[in-house]
Amino acid sequence: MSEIKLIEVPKWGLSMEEGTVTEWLVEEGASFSKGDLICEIETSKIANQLEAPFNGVLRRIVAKPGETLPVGAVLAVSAEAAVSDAEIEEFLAAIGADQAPTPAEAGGSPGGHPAPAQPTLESSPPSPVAHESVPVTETTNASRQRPGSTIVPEALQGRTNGDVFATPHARRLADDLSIDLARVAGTGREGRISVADIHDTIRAAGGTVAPPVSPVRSGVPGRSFEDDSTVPATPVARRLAASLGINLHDCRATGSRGRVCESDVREAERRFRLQPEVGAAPEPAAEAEFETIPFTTMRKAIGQRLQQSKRNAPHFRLTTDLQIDDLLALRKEINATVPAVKLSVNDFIVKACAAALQKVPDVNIQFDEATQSVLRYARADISVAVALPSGLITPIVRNADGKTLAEISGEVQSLVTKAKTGKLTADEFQGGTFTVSNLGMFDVRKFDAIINPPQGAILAVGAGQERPVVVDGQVVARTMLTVTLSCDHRVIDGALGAAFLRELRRFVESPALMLV
Amino acid sequence: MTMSKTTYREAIKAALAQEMQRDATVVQIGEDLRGGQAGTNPELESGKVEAFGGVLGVTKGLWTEFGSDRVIDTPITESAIIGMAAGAALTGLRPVAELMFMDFFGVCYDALYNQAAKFRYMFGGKARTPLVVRGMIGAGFSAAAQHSQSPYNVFAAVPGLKVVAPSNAYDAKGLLIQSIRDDDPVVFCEHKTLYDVKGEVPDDPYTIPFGVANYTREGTDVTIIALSAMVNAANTAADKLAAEGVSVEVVDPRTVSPLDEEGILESVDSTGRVVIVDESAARCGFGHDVAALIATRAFGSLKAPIELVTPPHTPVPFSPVLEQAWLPDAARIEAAVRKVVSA
Repeated sequence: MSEIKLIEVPKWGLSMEEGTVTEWLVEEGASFSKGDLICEIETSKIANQLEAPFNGVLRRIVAKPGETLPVGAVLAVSAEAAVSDAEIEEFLAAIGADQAPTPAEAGGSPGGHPAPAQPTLESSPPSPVAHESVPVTETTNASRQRPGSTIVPEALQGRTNGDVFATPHARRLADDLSIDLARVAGTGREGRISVADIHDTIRAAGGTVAPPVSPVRSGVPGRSFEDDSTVPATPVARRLAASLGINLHDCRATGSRGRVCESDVREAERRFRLQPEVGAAPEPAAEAEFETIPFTTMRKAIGQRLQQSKRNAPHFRLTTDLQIDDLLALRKEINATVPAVKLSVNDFIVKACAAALQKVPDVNIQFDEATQSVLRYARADISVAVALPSGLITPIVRNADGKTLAEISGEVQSLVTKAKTGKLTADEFQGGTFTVSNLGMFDVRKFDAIINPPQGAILAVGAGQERPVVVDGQVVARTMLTVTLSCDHRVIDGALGAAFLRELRRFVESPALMLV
Repeated sequence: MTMSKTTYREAIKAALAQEMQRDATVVQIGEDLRGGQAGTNPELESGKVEAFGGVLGVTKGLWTEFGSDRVIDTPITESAIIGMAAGAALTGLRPVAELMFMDFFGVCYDALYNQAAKFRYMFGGKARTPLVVRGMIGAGFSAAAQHSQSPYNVFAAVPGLKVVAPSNAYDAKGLLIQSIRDDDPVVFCEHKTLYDVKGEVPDDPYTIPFGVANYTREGTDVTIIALSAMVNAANTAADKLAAEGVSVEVVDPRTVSPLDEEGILESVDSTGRVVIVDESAARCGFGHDVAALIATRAFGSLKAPIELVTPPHTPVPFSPVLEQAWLPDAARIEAAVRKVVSA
């Protein structure tokens, strides 16, 4: 049987919404194997190569180099030699992807398109091109296939004209699906149309509605992992599904009143046993002792950059202890007296580093390996390492020496929020002249950090701890903070690094200097 | 339709005046409606009649235009005001009774809770009670514990009462006209810090149906549900977060009862993250009711626990500093949004 498969824009990382094809590495007509590099795609964060998800022949390149496409859009078509060009044309026309689909087109003109040509496909059905932007019913992870997409019968299609009483989300859904709301009966108060009314009308007119997608998402295709507590099921089916590890979303519902019943769960279990998920790593069928976690793009980027730094930059490290009792007292006073300001110790460290860099500008640099030149900056742009569930990123407090502690604190807070929601823009984390990495909150006493290229140095900050120290021959308790400066010996020598630490000590131990 | 930049206060007065012009059965009942001259009015004889019009001047000019038969000043007795108004409504008038401060509802609670709200039911559906009870709610004026509460949650717990809490001048006018034309008792809660806030309001009469939420901001990451003055604080927080790339939808239900469940649940379905802001109570409040609605009907959509922003469980403090700390504000809403976003 002839088989046509699609290669789509992948989703690399949570925040990726679109990618730009920069180069094709396989020519039209050439065959490729699973794992071969197919093309290069650039996103706002990273440039990477797309690996072939299966074996095939690259019959048609849909996305030309330089084109920017949304996640899930068609990049290319793969088919066996037996499939004729005409069949491919027909297939592309059927899914509406003969032109690279822009989101506007995708939502705007599904009228003439028949339902996605599912029967011609085996393992890789097309993403529901016509309606992938439906906010409520489709996940943003377009590479994840749902059983059935939303198909709107022609009778309902059109543009809403004039005043129709509908909820904002119903209005948006109608726009996305090109439904004329005048043809939808509202059952809400005062006859208002809700999202549920649109779904009911689509079903009543013979269309289908994609099942709702719950928020918990998983990269493994085939199986659902979302919360299935709202899926109607008989109590026995629910119990059985739980004990077999089957998600009720993956079961057909043949029971009375549309409920999943026991036989549906058994059937789903058989299906999963017979067909291991497409694309999943080959692993022991039952009860694996480990879980295979695919290497994410972010992990790859971290690995690549730090490996390069560790290999190219001869690191040396300088460690010193700073006494922070005065700093803590000042922090306490500011936090207690200035409303809405909550400075952290790290905010002080960022500020102190910026001030020290002004005194020792030869550390405030980037090293351009390509031209073998040192770029010395006037402003101190301090990168702050932020841990994320998926890795780590270093957003930048620009011009930190010119900012007050409160401004630095506010900015760090805002950058951390953006980092955690994946909303940092490239210029917010690319560049910087110096990095602060703080593991004090985890009670780490001291550690070494790897330089964040192209910068020349990084400060690793431990936890502030009460320690016995000798003052004038007496052992007394002081709050001490151990910091370790890692320097790139190509551009910073030991004495220079030490000079920086001396200035840093001055600001940290006499924190009032930071305020003037 | 021509629009004018109008304060919340003027919008309410315009609604009252236009409904009185349209319908001769609409009457005003309350203390000091025409300006602190209850019982006698020497100005009537002198021809100098423009009086203050209530403690906040909302009804100023109504008595001049409609006279003593339709703008009725009462003694200081809430039970008489609401008792009289409820009876008047039963006989066919459309009274608008003013309680001045909603905090005083306790004095007349029987007339409202056990009489007006139950008439239609007790008389086998044969009685109508087209009554509107107006009054101020809200903290922020340093009016102390007895004049600063927002008891719309108490009214909303009573079947038979409709409860409205507009957040802006446009909603105030449209919802008040709807309240007057409604055949059931409506409790109309005006937030005292909003009276001088201006908005674009149509000059002609118009109605806004009950139970239809207004989305003051549309967004995709987080839903904030807020009522009355809290909508403005929510908008401020939403705008600040939008600048950081956090897209916030602000849902103003406008009426506590009936509640636009669809409008709330559809937004929650689309964002999966919820912050509810409520000035009424730290416990058993409007916010808790909405949280329960979401937890029971949209649990599958939630990506993070529901976050509530309410005052602490204390009387409203008199001290302006303490009162500001007591009131939910944009900073607390922003912090709550950050919490649900990073959860």
